Amino acid sequence: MATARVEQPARVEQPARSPGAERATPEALAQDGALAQDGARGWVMVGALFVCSTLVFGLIRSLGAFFVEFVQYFQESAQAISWITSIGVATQQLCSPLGTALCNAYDTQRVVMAGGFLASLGLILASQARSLPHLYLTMGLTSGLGWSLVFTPMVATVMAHFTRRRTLALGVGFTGVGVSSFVFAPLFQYILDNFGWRGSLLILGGLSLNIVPCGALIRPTRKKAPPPPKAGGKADNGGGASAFRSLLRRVYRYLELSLLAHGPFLTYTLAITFFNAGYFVPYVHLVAHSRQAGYSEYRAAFVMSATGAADIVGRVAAGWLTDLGRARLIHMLTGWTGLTGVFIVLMPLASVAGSYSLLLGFGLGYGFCAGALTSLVFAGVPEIVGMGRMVGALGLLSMLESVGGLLGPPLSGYLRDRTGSYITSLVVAGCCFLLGSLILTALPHYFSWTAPPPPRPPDGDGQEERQDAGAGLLGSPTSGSTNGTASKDSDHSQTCLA
Amino acid sequence: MLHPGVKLCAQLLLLSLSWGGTHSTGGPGSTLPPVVCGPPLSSDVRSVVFKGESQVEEVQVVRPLTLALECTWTGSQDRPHNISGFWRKDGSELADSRRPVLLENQQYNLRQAFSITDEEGLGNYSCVFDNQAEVDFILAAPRVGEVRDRPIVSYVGDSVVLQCKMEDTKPRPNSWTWYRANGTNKELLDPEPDSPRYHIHNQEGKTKLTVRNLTEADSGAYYCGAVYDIGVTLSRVDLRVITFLEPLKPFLVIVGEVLVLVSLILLYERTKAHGTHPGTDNIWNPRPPGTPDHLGPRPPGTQTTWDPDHLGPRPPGTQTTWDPRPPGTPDHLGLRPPETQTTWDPDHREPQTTWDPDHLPPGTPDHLGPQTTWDPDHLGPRVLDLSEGYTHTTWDPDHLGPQTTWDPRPPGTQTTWDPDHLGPQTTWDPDHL
Repeated sequence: MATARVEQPARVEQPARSPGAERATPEALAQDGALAQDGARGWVMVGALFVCSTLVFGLIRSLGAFFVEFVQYFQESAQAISWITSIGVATQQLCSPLGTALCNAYDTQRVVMAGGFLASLGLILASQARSLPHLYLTMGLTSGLGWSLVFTPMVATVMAHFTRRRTLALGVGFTGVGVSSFVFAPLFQYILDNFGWRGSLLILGGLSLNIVPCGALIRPTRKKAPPPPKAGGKADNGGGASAFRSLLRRVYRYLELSLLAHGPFLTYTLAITFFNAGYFVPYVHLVAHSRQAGYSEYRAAFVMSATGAADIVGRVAAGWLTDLGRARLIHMLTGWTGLTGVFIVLMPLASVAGSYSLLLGFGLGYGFCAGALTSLVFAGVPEIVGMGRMVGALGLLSMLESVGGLLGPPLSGYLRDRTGSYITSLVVAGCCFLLGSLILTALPHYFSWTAPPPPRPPDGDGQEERQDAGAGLLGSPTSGSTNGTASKDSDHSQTCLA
Repeated sequence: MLHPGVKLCAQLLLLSLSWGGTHSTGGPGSTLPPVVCGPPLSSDVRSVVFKGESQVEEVQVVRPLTLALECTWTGSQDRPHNISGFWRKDGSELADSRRPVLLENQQYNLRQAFSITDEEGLGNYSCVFDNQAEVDFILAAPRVGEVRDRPIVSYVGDSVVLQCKMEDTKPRPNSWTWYRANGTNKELLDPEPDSPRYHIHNQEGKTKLTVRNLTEADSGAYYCGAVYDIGVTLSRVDLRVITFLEPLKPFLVIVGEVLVLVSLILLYERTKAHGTHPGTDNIWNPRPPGTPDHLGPRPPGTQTTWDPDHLGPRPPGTQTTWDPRPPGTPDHLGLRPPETQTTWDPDHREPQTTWDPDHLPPGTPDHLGPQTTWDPDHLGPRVLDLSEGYTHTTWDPDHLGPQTTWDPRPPGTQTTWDPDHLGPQTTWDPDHL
């Protein structure tokens, strides 16, 4: 990693030093397209990601304020009402590959704008609901689909805009989730008190519409028509069957299904799935566990708030720390996840020992490390699958890791019911993190100080388009369109070394 | 006078503890005949032992009963043998209740039985020792604990469910009633079973009032009453009915803000995109539709240099200069006499027959192939008297004469390179301009 980094600046910064004269050459344009985006444009995208994560995940987390209202209006059980958010979250995660496939096929700007419109439409239609299934369809499916078209493409866009500061950018962008849960809780209560749940859903729909300007900030790419079929490439000559087959091939390529056979990607996804299984358990069970251990409601809630604040700080700090480049991202990720597991295991032991300050301390540590790992999880993807397949990889990763998120909390709830206390469930959650860290060490080239060579896409066919897709997220009109293959490879390799 | 709801029994009644059940007219050790104060009531006792200055005890009363309240006080610093104690209800001392209290086993004891028959018997009873210490017994029927402090907001035309639930730890009311606030009065809500608007559904310990087809007049305070034998306790629920216009206003403000932002952003992107970039494909802006990017493959054998020496395969032995001119040819060819041809080929003295820009036979293609003549006469726009009408030539590398028009160019267009004015250039290359 050190040697590669030393070479890089000398090679790349040359064009930047004399921008006027060198700008016109194709090589400089290629590198310019990747490097210069570390600048103002990229940070604008970070701001857009901040707003989007606020309006997607911050909103989802704060929907609990509607719970009581729905129970009273529809006179349904708590379980039936909680299906609304479950459907929404599940749709968002399962449709992530669809979002990234649409980005590969069409313009990211349009996809995100459409997603924002869909999410807000779902909430607006939900305000007219007269029955619970109506809410499942609107707040659950429609908004969930909209959110899936927004979140992963925004993350992919931010990652494409940064090279050296990628993790920090992601960390800053993701702080939106934490900040908004502090802001939305009182805000939602206020609008619920004044407008009831119908008016509140309408206003939330309007708020969600703010995703559309964030999407508009993404510079549109001028996607060229697919290149003419090369010899030996897609066989487009005549006939409906081969047109269908070429459509299937395009779908296969857009969804990056080739990644399902990619060993390192599957290893990484398995580790992230374990992290996801353990991630939400402390949020759900910690307050109840503290109450059970005898602490007052106020003290337990304070531990949670402190954890949330540490989470926000952890995201930014870990992002900055990773981009210093002292250690490889994958090593730092292992460190953060291992620490998270350790803190989760220690938390119930602290409350059993009866020390509130220890519990608070471990809670802060857990919050910090949990936030830290969220910044790194996505930033580690290009190192494993390469810049060209990054977009699809993000979608597939989101979808597959959701399995952990769906199974984890019910499993810990089951453990709690069986044993009668939260200690077992929290310890198991901590072990999920430790197990995931171990799985990470199984990645290729793990035990080396320098980063591995960037992975090559599986076949030469469509290589240009995939690199177009990766570079096309940058939105500059000349990226990838006028350059020869040599300069494209240089672009490809330098952006892989996160 | 005694408070109407309280009858002070002449004798103390010591009782058994059955909370909710049977009558008991005497206890162990009681030698006095039972004195029944009024109709047979169930009975209960509450006793409190305390040390300090005051204490509060809440007593739930569900049905009329005889309640014995007992206070035992350990006394203050000095314990006089004889102090006075009395009972208070709702702040005012009960007549005939003041009596001397003797110190027994280092304690003072006050005991009194009260007959609670109706709602007015409930209240705040206090036993007072010597104006120094007291215990407040708050007698009340069970109230609904979870009271929603904020109004329920609903919409015109919508339906709403107002509900009251008595906690499982408290005794269940016999039934429920609903009231609606009307000024300062509360009027009973008693809908017919098939009333379209109101519907009351009572369950065990729960009651729900459903109001359909809400109007703004339905706003206000509603009271659910838990009916016990002793009385009714009310719990208040506020309803506020608004029209959909109310949330619509902030919604429209937000939508307007979004539209403004989106337009600004898209406008900004569009103005940025219209600037020229070096290296873009737009060479000729705006280019008329149909104009090719490249002017096509050069006909074989032609050159791009405008070199009067190399206008094609020159026959050997000829000169490279423009001279000698055919005799009689003027230096400045001026306006051509009408009906004459315009070709004047320094290399070929005889008038050419390959092409005459003034008289192009119909069907002549634009690109006439490797021409070797250049016509200094052709100084003006091409005469458009061709049968085909509008000829379409972009440039003809062989037409080396100074053209002043370049058909078909729409007015006001730019050219970065002008094939007409090749001037002192010796090379022009349509690929690199």
